[in-house]
Amino acid sequence: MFPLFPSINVNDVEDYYVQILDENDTPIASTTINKLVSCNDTVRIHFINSFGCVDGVTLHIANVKHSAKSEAYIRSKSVPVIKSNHAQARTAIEAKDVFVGKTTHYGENEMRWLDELFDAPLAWIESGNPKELIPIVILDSEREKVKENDAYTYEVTVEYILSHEKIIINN
Amino acid sequence: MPINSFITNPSVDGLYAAYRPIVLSVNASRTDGEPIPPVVYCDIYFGGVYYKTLSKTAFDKLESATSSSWTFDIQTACQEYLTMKQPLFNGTSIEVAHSAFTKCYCRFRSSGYDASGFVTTENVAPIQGTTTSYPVNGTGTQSNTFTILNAVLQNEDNQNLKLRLDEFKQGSWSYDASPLTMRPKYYYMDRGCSDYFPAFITSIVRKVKLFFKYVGQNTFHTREVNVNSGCAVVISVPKFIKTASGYSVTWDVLLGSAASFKISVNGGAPISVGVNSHSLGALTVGKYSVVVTPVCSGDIDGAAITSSIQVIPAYLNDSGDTSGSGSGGGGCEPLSIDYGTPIPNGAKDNEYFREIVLDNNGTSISPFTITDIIKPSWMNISAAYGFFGVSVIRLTGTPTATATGQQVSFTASNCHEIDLLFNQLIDVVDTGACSASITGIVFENGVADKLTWTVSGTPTKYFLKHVLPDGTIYTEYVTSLSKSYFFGLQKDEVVTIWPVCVVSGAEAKGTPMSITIP
Repeated sequence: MFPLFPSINVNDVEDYYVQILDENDTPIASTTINKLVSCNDTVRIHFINSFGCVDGVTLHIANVKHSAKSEAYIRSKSVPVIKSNHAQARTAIEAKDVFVGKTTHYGENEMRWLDELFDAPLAWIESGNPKELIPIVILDSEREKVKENDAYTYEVTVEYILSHEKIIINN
Repeated sequence: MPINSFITNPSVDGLYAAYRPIVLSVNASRTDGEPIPPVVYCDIYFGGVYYKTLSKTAFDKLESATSSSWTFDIQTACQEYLTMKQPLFNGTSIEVAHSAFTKCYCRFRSSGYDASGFVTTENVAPIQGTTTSYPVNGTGTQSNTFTILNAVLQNEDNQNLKLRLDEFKQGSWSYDASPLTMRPKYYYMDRGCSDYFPAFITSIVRKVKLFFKYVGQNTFHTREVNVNSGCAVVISVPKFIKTASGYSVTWDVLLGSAASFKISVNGGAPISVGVNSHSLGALTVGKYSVVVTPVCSGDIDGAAITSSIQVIPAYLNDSGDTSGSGSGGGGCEPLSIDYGTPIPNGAKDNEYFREIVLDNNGTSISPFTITDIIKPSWMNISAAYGFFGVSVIRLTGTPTATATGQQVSFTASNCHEIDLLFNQLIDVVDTGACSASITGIVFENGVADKLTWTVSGTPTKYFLKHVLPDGTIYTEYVTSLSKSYFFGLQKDEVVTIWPVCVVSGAEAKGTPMSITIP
């Protein structure tokens, strides 16, 4: 939106919303009030919502876990002996990063909206320089939507992996 | 009359979710008037184009001795047809998600038997499209036309999709429009990220209006751009660039696509250009107004944007600009100021006078313009020349009421592509009167001319205003009771000295005294 208004420095802006107007300057539609926050260690996830549109949510990246598994490839010893040759090596290596994003910005009333993130069939993150949409897979999970204790603080945690599997070199 | 009537017919222009039953039922008769046709066909049309046919051989019930009822649910076809639309990443436009909604109607056909006992359909059967041929529409008894959204309604939701969507309206909305997101009223996002706000809109959009609040402020400012729906192209405010041969004006297309542009200079006849820049040639000193109008195919004009430039003579050596080519090239340096020296708060009922001196990295100042001015109503902002041709932006006026958080911002642009942006908040405070007064001024003529003055009271500093014989004004602050001028003071130059009392960052002036240099 801000490229439409080049005289405004987005870094100086705290909140904004947008209206579209008809020929009588009457509002047709208004966005929600967007509160701009620091972008340190955050990730923006775009997802398909239940109205068939691309929605989005910004999360704090809490954790990234790398996991790898493989099978063993065993071969006979070389004759004559070549000491640098492997006898056992890894093969069929499967590796992936599991990203954990969190937010505490939203309360109990917003949990229904966040359901749409957890239930989304397709999702993307913004990544790279320049940024591009990278497809991800939201991992299956359970979470507490309504609770009796600390009902005013909801920490929402989302786990996801990249949609494209990591390619591992063979030799 | 084989299709006798509609029993269930979606409402005209109604809004329906693709992931809930979309039911149409008809009262039908066999071609020969018997109550039960062998087959009833429901031809589904999306956007006025035939998509596919549902057919049934089992009726619901007998309605009379000559008719029966037949029901079709077209949701599966709708789910096949509709899909999400990925908006342009980091886009700046209102995108129409053609794949996520569609107008829909169905045409129903009944059937009978021929003399040999084969089923014969009534009306003209449509032909489905293939990879090498377009679909061909058929005929039949047509339902109402309604709209289907690629949306889900849960069992517990309001089954009226329009009412369900309206539950999520935040702010001002027209009746016909609805949000397509459950986002909460306050939505958090980080700067520099892309965002889309999905909505269902049937009205013609004319303007996009931005409400924004600067950090630490409580009030929203607004800016808006025009969108001509006949030619939905938005261009940026045209910017003037100094080139080797004079000036050119350039602009960006922010939204949509223009076939060409029209440019009118100072109200003259429009000139048509195919690119987003135009050479104005050499401009003499004066004010120029340029109106740029994007033109869409079909020769439809979009929203015109006006920009103006005040071509002013640059002091000192302006020749460095002549080597510039395009934006920011050659000897054209960006404007800059000392951001470390904030402008002072205003003092109620005291004249405000502050000059922001433009620095050009040690080179000459190119002609510049000031735009996007936001200021308190009591303040005037103007471009001026100080001593030695130093270009300044002068802030003047007299605040008459206390206030907090008043914004002073502007954009100063010269031939360089990087604009100077100034933005500061000031308060107007009631400082009370500054009781100090200047009681005498002595001028000493020597290797360095010197002014010495005496004061009654204890001011924080002194404000000196020099008015040269040619009318040029320059100002300075001094904290001591004297000031030497190695470059000399001019004969008939008038110097006025005010004692200044600083209270809460605001400057109240005491009683001044003036001297005319002999």
